[in-house]
Amino acid sequence: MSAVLRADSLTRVFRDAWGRPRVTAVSDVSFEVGRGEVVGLLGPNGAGKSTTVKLLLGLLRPTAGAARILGQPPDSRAARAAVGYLPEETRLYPHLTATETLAFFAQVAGVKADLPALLARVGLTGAAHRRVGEYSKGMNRRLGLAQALLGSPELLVLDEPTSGLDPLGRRDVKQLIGELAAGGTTILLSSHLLAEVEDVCDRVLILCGGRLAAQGSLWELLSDPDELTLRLPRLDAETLARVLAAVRAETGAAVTVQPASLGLEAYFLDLVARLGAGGGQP
Amino acid sequence: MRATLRQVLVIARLTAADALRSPLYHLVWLTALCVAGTLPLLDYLALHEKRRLVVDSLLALALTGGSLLGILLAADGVGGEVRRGTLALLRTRGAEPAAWLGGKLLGLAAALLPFAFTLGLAVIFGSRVAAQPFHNDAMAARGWWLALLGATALWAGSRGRLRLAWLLPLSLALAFALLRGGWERDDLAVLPAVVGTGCGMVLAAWVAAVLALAVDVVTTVWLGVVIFLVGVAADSWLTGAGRLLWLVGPSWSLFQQTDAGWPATARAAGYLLAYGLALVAFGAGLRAAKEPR
Repeated sequence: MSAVLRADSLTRVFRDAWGRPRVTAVSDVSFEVGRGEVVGLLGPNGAGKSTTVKLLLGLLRPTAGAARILGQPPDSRAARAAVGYLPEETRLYPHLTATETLAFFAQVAGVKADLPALLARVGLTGAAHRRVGEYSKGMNRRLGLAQALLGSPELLVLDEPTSGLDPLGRRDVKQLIGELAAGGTTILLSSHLLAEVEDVCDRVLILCGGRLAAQGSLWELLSDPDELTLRLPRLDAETLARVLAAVRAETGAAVTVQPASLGLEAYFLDLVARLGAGGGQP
Repeated sequence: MRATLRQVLVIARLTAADALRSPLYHLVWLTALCVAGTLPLLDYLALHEKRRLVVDSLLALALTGGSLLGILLAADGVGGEVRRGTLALLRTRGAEPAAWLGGKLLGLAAALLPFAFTLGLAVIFGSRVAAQPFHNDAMAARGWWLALLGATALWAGSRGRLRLAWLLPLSLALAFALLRGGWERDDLAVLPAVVGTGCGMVLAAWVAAVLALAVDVVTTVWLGVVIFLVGVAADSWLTGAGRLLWLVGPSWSLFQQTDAGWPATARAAGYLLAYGLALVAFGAGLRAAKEPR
């Protein structure tokens, strides 16, 4: 698998006005992200996620080490053309409309884009000609995402992409990430929402205190080699008792039975879908 | 090179459009329009037809008002991009600091044009009104205001308000010409001084734009105003070899010449351009050293 994004011993030390080291935000971080992978960058507040993202994008210079995008320095023209970036906060130009905003970024980047299609993809068709200053936080986030998708970049760097979105919006963004990954787009997703990362990522990098504390596929990191989860259709009490007895007799181990749960998000989405977009009575 | 130039122009257009849609801009611009519209009254009540006094006062008003507006637009436009994070986004889209700052400076100059144009017209009207008293011609004065009212009504009901905003000062110019029996050669004698004043406004905006890269919005406005005041008085403070300091600190002396001809205005424009290029180089270096947040 060819590396689209590569970090080699990335280190960043912030200094005070006298040049004395103040804080080491990122220390000796190395990893690779292959083509078509969706990788989550996790860590508590102050772990160095945003600094790492800025180093990878060439927005900060590393004190030591190097970042490469498609084998190029991140501030090279080729690397810039390959990247779409959604920053942690999206506060675009309040006096411009969504269409004007996207047209502006497309012109700066020198790319042609089907703006109505892009706005439809992030669910902003109805608000295309409204000023961004009138947008809710979630709509701003969607517009930021559309901006990141301009020019169909090979690598998407998304910093908290679902921040400010309602469950429907979060579902849409997760679906979009899945579609993009299926189409071969490489995605680095920085988030502190573990469930979100778990839903969409193939692999995670966990930063702690500026160091890479763990990395691997979700399967490698999360699976418990000593236990299995077996999902069954609903059984009547008699059949269930027979199944449990058989398993206990075979393994001699304790078996736990729990009713399957949809999860609150799935329940909410199902309810909203049944009520329709207008939100009538059940 | 072509890509960089395209970026500069695109960023300039955005900066101008963003500034021109700010409610504050419209407030200041309408103030300028009111000054132009009420000139017959001002002349009659306060200035007493002394042409020199009228022109000097209006040029000083234009330079001060325009410079303050420019400082505010720059602090908000440039500081806003740094604060909002759109500068970092533009960097990821391939815009280099020099291209971005060049675009911002050009855009600020373009945004100041309608304001400078309106106050420029006021100066020309003022010069003419003082030379040939207007206040006795009550019908003409009413006609002038009616023209402005009509244009405002048309403008308020139009769709492309931003594009059609030029209609307002133009309606005044047209009414002026119709009611006063056309333009005379003397009417335009103050034009070089008006253009020089416009250059002075742009310089204030450009200096504030570079300040906004280093400090927050409020500090930019305060520092910008202090630098402007020192620069306005530069001619009195700095003499002889001290004038070399103009190469570092901006001076507005070149922009305050009521009797300036086109050669003096060309010198002022040349100073503005040279200073602007130096600001772009300095600002881009400053940005690279600070690194986007």
